[in-house]
Amino acid sequence: MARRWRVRAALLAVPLTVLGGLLVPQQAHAHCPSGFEYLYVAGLQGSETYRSVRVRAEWLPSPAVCDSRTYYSASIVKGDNDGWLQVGWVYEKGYSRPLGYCERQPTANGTGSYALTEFRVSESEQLYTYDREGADGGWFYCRIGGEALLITSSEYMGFTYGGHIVVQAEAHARHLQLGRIAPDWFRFSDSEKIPTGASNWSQLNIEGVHSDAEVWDWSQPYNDGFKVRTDANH
Amino acid sequence: MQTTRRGMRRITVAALLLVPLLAVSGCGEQLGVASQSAPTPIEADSRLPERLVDALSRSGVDLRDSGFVEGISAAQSLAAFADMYDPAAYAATPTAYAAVIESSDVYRVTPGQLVRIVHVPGVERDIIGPALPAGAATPTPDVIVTDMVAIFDADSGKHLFTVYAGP
Repeated sequence: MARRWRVRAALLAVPLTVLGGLLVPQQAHAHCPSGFEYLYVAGLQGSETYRSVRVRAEWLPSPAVCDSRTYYSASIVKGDNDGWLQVGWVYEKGYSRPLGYCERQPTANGTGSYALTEFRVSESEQLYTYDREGADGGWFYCRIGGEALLITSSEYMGFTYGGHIVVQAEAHARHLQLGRIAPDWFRFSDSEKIPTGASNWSQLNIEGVHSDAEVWDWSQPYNDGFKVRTDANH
Repeated sequence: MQTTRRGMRRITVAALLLVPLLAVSGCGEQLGVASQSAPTPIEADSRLPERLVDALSRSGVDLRDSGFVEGISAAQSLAAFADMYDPAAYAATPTAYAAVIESSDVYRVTPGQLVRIVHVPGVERDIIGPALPAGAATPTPDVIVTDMVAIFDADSGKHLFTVYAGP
């Protein structure tokens, strides 16, 4: 009789062991570094004042490496980051797909508060624009592709134009490559601006490229783009 | 014979224990389109918290509670959320509300439109912002705790926008 119970117990133990394995959270893949890291590469122009910026930034084929967060964006910045408007695409842990976004950080003089608003957009619509229209310039429009998604007043932001503009790629993890991954590239030359007083788009003239050189394997930029790898990309 | 009956009862108890384990592990039937890996329960509530209304208003979205009278249910709203985001990625449980838009700076909604809201409180985001002008220090993350609010059309369940409002 005791032997029969041992057999039954063994039969029950097998599926329980399998289920236990399923219920225990899986460990991260061994080559994925742990801990939070913020890495970025950015091109800036600050020799004028600006009211509009736009950039073409295709989605990466595999933005989900090691649960990384990825942002590609263009920004109008007032002062030393005390206020900005940013538009781009984002991929975060838990997202089923990349999403377009419009981000607002008002200055201390603004009437609004920080907000990041995400939109489901088509992968074929990859032109990201923040544009203040009209001579009076009361409103900033956030557009992705041809669609106006969000409108923001100058009062909300506390400014009517920016002192510098930035095109930027960010990785919030160490295991990721930003930039030149054919066929989807992030090219500074695909960014344009409208200075205050002008009415037409003109190409951005990158005056400075910033990155964290100690962490990143910085093998470019070219005039028309960049390629940066994190230290975990080996 | 007595021993055999006791043994059968034990086997029955063991089988009953296995049922919830099978369901949790994904071997059981899945409901809706919720993520297969989401172990956390999801709940519905018909009362829109005033604190959330205030946070959304500061971020350019004014709305009020409408109740689940017309449109998709709370469970369908949560399923629509799970189609966009993995609920298991968040520490807090998503909660569904019904609301009507009063005004918004988002073009995809109009005043009077019935929507469904799925709210996840206490979501951490790192605000970094753009790079600084030449010579300035590297930007550093400013971690905030914010309200994640996903808005869906009350009729179709289509995702309209998601806003991280506040703190």
